[in-house]
Amino acid sequence: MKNRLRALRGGKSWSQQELAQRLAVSRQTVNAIETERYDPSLPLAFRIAHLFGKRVEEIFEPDA
Amino acid sequence: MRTMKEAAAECGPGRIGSPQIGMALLAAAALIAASWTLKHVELGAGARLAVAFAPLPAYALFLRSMWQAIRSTDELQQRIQLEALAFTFGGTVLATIAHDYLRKAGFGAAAEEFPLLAIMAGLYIVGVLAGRRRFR
Repeated sequence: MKNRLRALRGGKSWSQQELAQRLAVSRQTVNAIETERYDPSLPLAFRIAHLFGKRVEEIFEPDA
Repeated sequence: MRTMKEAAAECGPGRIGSPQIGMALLAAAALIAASWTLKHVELGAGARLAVAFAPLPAYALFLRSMWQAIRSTDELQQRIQLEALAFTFGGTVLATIAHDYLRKAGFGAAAEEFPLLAIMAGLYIVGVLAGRRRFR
């Protein structure tokens, strides 16, 4: 699954650690999502979307 | 009720760490001490039974510590743990079958000592390291 998490985080000038703390996950989890090695669960995807004030589908999209 | 942020703060970066390693070492020390005592000290049947069961509380504490640590980590760490435990379980089954067939094939002396706990610990460490590397 593709995502725009890195760009959104950059827009807020947050470090991975800072975003991880806001999402209550580890920095490794944020990095794995950003590098698209790990697809988050639906609850975490909604937490991410809520944090950035967007809908889930505006951040995540399926691979072609 | 604990919030997710509080749970994450308690578990630090979301990994199993030194408390669990400490518990594992304590359990291993208790097992070694019990084994040594049973082998080298003359005891009555009741005392031998007590010594044989003596390491169990340490193992129970270790299990409880692992359980709590895994439950407090985030979803990626839980996935890494699940895959590591699946790898450990499968690998241990394979090793046990191989050991059993070695004995059936007549290699009883070579297959006498079967370090089951060491094999499980080794497979678990390999599984966790592979998972961390995969999602690094």
